[in-house]
Amino acid sequence: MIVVSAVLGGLGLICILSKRTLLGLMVGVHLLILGAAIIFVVAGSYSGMHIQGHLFALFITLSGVAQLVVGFSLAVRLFYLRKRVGMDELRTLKH
Amino acid sequence: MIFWMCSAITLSAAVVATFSRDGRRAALSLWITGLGAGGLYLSLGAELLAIVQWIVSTLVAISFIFYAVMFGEYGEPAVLPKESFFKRGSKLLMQLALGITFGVTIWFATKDSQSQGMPMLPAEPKGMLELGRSLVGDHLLSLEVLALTLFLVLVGAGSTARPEAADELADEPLVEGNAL
Repeated sequence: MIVVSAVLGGLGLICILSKRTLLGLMVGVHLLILGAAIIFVVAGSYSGMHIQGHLFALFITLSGVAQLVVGFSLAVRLFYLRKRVGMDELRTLKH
Repeated sequence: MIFWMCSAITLSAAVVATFSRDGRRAALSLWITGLGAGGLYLSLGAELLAIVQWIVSTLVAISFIFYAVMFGEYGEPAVLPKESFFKRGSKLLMQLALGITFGVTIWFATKDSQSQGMPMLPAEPKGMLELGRSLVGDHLLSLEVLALTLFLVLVGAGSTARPEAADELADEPLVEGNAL
């Protein structure tokens, strides 16, 4: 079962490394977060601490929403500044 | 059985989301990944988490599609190499496999549930009660920190995305192209 979360995390990492757009980066981070949440649920089931595993996964999943909001706000800001949303633009976000 | 089928759906969709160049297709694949992960949670007895995951995945997919529609057409023109027949065929096969797996999973899941007399959502009020008590009892501080973090992120995102006077340089002509 851990293999599923490991593959998800690996795919997320590949996505982060290979994509050069903000959308690709956010998709990769979301896959990583999903893999991490599944690890907590599976580990909780294995160890008999179901509730704790579920709660940690719940917190991780809802924290992923924060990542999404920050990503979108950066994209909107970047679009105001540059009219483009490529990842290279983030190096010079302020000016 | 249900767990491995949900795993196959999740991983297939994650592969499509990872390697897809189209933003909208990546968003839809990410949505299916979230739905499959919710199925995994359900098979592990985490009903609340499954529901939360489905809601979050749907909202994330909708946001990504809005993102792709709003910003996807602006950016550096993407030079897309011509795809070979084998590559196009493998993509088509992957999409077909994903759709077939999804349909077969629903059929098998319903069949297993009926044969075992097990409802789709394992009704265990005691487990849900324990989860709720633990959430507002032992982990109340974590819940408050999470709520505060989400609130601050929301306010900060609104502040960050606000246009300013310095944004005048955005009067450059738009560069047409597919940035995704």
